[in-house]
Parts: sequence; structure tokens; C-alpha cells
Amino acid sequence: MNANNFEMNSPVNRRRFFLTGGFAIATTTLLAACGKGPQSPQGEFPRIGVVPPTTGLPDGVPTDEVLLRTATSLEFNAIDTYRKVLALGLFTGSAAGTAAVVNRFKADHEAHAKALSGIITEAKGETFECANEQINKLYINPALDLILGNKDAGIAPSDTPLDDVMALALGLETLAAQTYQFYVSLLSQPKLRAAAMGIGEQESRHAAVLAQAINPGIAGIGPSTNKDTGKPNPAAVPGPFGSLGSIAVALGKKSEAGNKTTLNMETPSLNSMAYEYAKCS
Amino acid sequence: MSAPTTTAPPKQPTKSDIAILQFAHGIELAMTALYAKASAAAGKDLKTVCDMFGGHHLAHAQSLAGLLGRSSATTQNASFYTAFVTAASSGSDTELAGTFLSLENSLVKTHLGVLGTITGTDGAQLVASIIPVQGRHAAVLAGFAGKKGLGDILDNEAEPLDTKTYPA
Repeated sequence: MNANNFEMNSPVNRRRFFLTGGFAIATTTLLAACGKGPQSPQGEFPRIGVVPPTTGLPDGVPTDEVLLRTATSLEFNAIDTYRKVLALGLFTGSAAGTAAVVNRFKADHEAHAKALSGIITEAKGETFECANEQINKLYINPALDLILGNKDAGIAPSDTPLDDVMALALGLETLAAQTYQFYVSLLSQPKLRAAAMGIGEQESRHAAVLAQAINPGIAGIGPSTNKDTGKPNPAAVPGPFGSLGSIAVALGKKSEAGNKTTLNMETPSLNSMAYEYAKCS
Repeated sequence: MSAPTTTAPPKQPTKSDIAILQFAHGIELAMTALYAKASAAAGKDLKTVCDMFGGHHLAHAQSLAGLLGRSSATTQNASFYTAFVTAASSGSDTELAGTFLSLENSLVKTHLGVLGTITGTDGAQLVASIIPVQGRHAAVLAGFAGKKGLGDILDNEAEPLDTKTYPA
């Protein structure tokens, strides 16, 4: 007998033992996985422990109705945000005139939401008259936390809240305008595309007005770069075509390095749409 | 709402799309030429704006030409250019800006009409990327035209351009 306790000339040497043993384990695992015995009544993989049951969402198809419902929800995001911003009492003194602009923009968004709901109703669809939760969760709530501060999350309030409110408004208007432009490629009917862009064009004008308010004069019309941060300055007309890229919004208290937190916004895609099964809570 | 269609809209411009996009192309070429005229007549700041916006219209024309290929308009819309060349090349900066504010608003309405008619998605996406920029042009020009009210900047009461008034 050698050191491995197997005779060299024995039919059961170490190599053969591992081969046979490995085959047995693999076969058992395969049979267990495929088996429909009492241990796996539904033919599922055997599990250890208790797994809570889950219910998948229904299949969502981005139909014209879903796209218009999503656009409406974005209008309500803007309406709600402007309402909150107006309640902050920031527009006083030299900024008093800005309140009129914000009120006008809010009224425009209300008109847009009403127009979209009208189109949906006319086509026998179900309207969606509330803000998009996903947009609130991803962009607006974090933005407001950065501006107003959030003790629980350890976020200090911004040292320039008025500037940040203007930056957020520009971001939201740009997001709305881009959403309509993006949805043109998804809407099936030409008349709906035109209706959507009629609204999107007005959101673009809002963005141009805000960009001029933030970065006034001839230097703020075309694209330019901030010398300190190296980031693009707000521009009334950033380029020859409407962009569909992400929108960077710098908000909050400046860090020791002098930078604000950058929030990147993107148009609502498949995971943020107001599908037919979604209801306003 | 109607059930989702099972037939995807065409990507390329259809025959009827081409005629509509040719008109838009001719207008964009004419706008480029009108801005060049205005640039020569405008003061420093407005000249900067005219050069920038004229460049944008040239980009729009070039993109439409790229989409239409051999079907693109070969020249600018002569009747549109003739109708506005005098107003676009004379007067104070405020008057010049007022002329172009009116033209940009008309172009926005024209392109919205184009978008509501054409079926091909390539053309629709291109026109949809042009419309917001021309709206922004109008918002900027309103300031140069001395329009201080928000309604003057945001509201667009202009009529779209049509092929009967401005045949190619």
C-alpha cells in the first residue's frame, strides 16, 4: 500500500475515485434540479429558507396614450415644484420680479397638462393627472434636499438658494422640452407629434428665458464655458439642434473645493412611464 | 385610446413627405440668406446674434438636404426671400430684431405644420430637433426687439408659411 492508501495496481485508484465521485455528484445535482418529486412540487429549483412571494408588474407598452400620460405627469412635476418654490418666500427684493415669471410658467404648465388630458380624453384614454413619482424620487426630491437641506440625510442647506432654484427650474424646463422632442420618435400619429412639440417648443422658450436670467447679456445667448468650473454656462440657445443628452444641474452648498453637487437629469424612459396600469395615489 | 398600431411608421420620408420637407428646406436656405443680409446692417451685438442664428438655419438646411438627398431643394425659396429681404436688411436694430422675431415665430408654426403632416420618423425627429431652437431664437430676439412682456416672448400668434403664398 502506498501513501495514498490505494494499491497502484488496484482498479480503484485515486484518479478513478475522483472521476467516479465527481460523476455521481454531478448526476445527483442534475436529477435534483430536474426532478418533480415531493421536494419540488412545481418543478422549481430546491431552495433553502423562505422566499417571500413576489408579484411582477404587468407588461407595459409605450403606446401613444402612455407617452401622453407620461408627458402630463411631467407637467405636474413642474407645477408642484413651482408651487413649492413659490412657497419658500425667496422671491423678495431684487428677485421680486422672478415670482411673476414663475407664476406664468406654472400657469403654462397647467395649460399644457389640461391640453394633454384633453387629447387623451378625446381619444377615449384615461388621463393621468399627478406628478411622476419616479421623476420626484430621482431628481426633484434630491434637488430640493440639496437646496433646503435635509438633517436626516446629513445634507446642509444651500448657501445660494435663489440661484439653485433658478438652476433647478432651468433643468426642469429643459427636461420637459427634451421629453417632448424624444417622444416624437415614439408617437405613431403625426398630429400627436405636432401637438407634443407645440408644447415642447414653449418649454424651450421657458428655458431660454431662465438661461438669460441666470446668465444675462450677449455672452449668455450662445454656448460658453465657466472658467472656474470648466462646465458649460447656461445658454439661451445652446446649439443649432435640440439636444437629447443628460442635463447637468449644479445645486447645494459648495464643497471646500468650491463645487456644488451635480444632478444629472434624463428624459423619462421605459422605467419611468405612466403606463395604463399606473394610477395617481 | 386606440390600440397600439401593429404597423410601425416608415423611417424614410414618403413621397408626400418629400414635397413638404422640400418646402421647409427652401425656407431654411432663404432664412440663412436673410440673416446674412441682416448681419451686414446690424449693430455689434445684433450682428453676433444674426451670425449665430443664421448659422443655425444653415445647419437646419444642411440636415434637411442630407435627409432628402437628391430630392432636396436646389435653391432657397425665392418668393419668401424677396418678400422679406428689404425688411431684413434695413432699419434700426430694434426693427431688424422685430422682423426676425416675426419670421422665427412663423417658422416655428411652419415646422409644427410639417411635423403634423409627415409620416416618416427620420424627418419627424429632425424637424422636432429644429423647432425648439427656433423657439429659443424668438425668445432671444424679443429682447432685442424691445419686447419686455413675458407674453411677447412666450406666446406665438404667428401664422405658418404656406406654399401658396411662398411657392418654391
